[in-house]
Amino acid sequence: MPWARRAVVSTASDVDMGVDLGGVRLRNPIVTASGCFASGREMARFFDLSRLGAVVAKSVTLEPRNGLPPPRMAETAGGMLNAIGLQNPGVDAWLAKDLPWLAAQGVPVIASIAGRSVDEYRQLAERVRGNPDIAALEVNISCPNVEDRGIVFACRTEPTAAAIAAVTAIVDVPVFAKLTPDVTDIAAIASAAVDAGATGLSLINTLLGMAIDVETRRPKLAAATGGLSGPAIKPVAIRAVHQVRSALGPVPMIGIGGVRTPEDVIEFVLAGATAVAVGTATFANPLAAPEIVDGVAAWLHQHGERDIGGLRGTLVTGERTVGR
Amino acid sequence: MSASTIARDAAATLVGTRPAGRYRVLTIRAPGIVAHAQPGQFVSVAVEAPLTLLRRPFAIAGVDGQRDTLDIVVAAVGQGSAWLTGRAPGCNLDVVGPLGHGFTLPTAPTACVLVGGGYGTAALEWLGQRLRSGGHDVALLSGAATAAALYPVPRVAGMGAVIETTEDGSQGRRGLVTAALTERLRRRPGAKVFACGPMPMLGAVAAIAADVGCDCQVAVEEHMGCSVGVCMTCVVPTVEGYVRACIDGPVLDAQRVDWTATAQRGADVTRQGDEGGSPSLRTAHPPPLQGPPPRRPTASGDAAAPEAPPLPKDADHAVGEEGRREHRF
Repeated sequence: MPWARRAVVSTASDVDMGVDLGGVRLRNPIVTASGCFASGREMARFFDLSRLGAVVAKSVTLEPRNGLPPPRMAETAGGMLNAIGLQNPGVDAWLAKDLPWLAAQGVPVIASIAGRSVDEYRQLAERVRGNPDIAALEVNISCPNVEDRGIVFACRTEPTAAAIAAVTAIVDVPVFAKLTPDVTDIAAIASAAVDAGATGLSLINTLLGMAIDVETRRPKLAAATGGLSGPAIKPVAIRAVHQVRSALGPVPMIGIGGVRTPEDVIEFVLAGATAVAVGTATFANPLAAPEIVDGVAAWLHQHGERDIGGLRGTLVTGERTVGR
Repeated sequence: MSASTIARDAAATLVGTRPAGRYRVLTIRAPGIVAHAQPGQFVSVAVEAPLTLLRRPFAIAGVDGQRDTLDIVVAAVGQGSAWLTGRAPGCNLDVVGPLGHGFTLPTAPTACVLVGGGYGTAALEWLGQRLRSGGHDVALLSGAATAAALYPVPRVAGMGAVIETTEDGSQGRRGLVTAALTERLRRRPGAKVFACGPMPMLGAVAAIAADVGCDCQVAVEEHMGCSVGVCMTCVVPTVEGYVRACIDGPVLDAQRVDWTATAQRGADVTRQGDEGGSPSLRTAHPPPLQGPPPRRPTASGDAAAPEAPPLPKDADHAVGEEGRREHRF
């Protein structure tokens, strides 16, 4: 699959790429998807992180986690499965070592926290509260790689509300609830999160998937199941953003899922996203995110659009005219 | 933004290809990458096979600083590698590198033993040249299951000792490359060991080196996703927990690696850890195919090692085998 290999057209300086993401001013709508960018240090070898709208860091947990055994990844048609298991140094080490470095790069930092209980979310919120290096908080209530699907908070409205309420009661930065598409009615989950105080939503986390090696008859992942990401899931993500926008109106959303081209970003914005995350595409091309930033500016310029915000939620849904 | 010698060269050029046994050597012109490359490091190459999306990692098998080229060795085992071996000279390739930590070369003149399994030998050939030009005493031990799976080491002047082993005796000495290592270390006590090949072989090499108190560096293999340190796919168990092969490795001090845990690989599905997939799926899965690993796993230097399920010798095997650093086997 050709990956965003187009030559970058000159960036149009008259285009306003800035967005207001639930009160956080971003210089452009392109952010990183949590878990696809670590905490930026590795990627700063390739480009200046301040070219991005924001960095959404990898989720941290209360205690350090070693994660799941390998094999952790399997490439699938147009996508990939991962079962990392939230390997991370723990919130305290992250706050002490990774966050200060990242914030010093001149890019807004959206921290991501993942807990196993409402009390853990409360404790994580206490740890990050008041930290001047954190512009916003993403609450990961939808990681598929947990020991018990019963604790994927975002699969039901009540646990979603409980986890989000625990966090929003404590922190004073915008809070985004990251949801899973593996539910019957994602708008109902989104509504529960917003009612519990979430500023906005991050849509979507990976879909739970599985692949089998037919020679060995084993699952390709050690954990058997894992999260599906990549271009294969983009239509699911667009659908989720559209459904939530239709149900809740113009709530701030970070659109996530299979973004690899400037047109993908425009698609998410038309569906109602304020910011758009680049995830798996970074694995294929370490420069994917900044190239997409330039590509979106060029797209807007070529289409006579002066402001990315002007496109938000402008999906056309009326009757189709014959011939179009 | 930190200073860096890593580059993405989206306009690298394939300048030539040649067969090497059942493998294919690709020579790629990539000036910004070649200038900083060290033995043991690797590059990742974008492939455009249908519906694939990840880069493929390859050890740098050698560089030519005059021509700004580097060599990679590809075994066409899946879609991505088949796409790559099908490229014609002159075509454009998208290459990122040099990546990871390479081998640490000794400073004082030292006896060095290089142990390669399958086409893992390819990365050691370049290391051997560097060591010999640095005045070290070098032996290259190259093993595989069969003659066909051996990586052919060119016989050039000053190569030093090259010993080949095959399990079936079809070329070189019959037996495992680890037997040749034991013998060599008996004659060169205190030698430094450098190994590259399948994990079971590396575990056996590490155990032999540890038994006789020799330093040992291994270039580990693991499936890679991003190749640049962010996706956390390619982790290797060590005494300090998981480290990433792509950025903390691929060359690691053998004493750091938790070889018991690496030998468990494949049995992991049934492991009851504090994390895992769906419990119902886990319990429904059959028990591991093999028992507990022997303390010193036997190694063949090729894919048919006891820890790994047998692979078709020349088949276009599952895509899942790609994403491993493909020079391995």
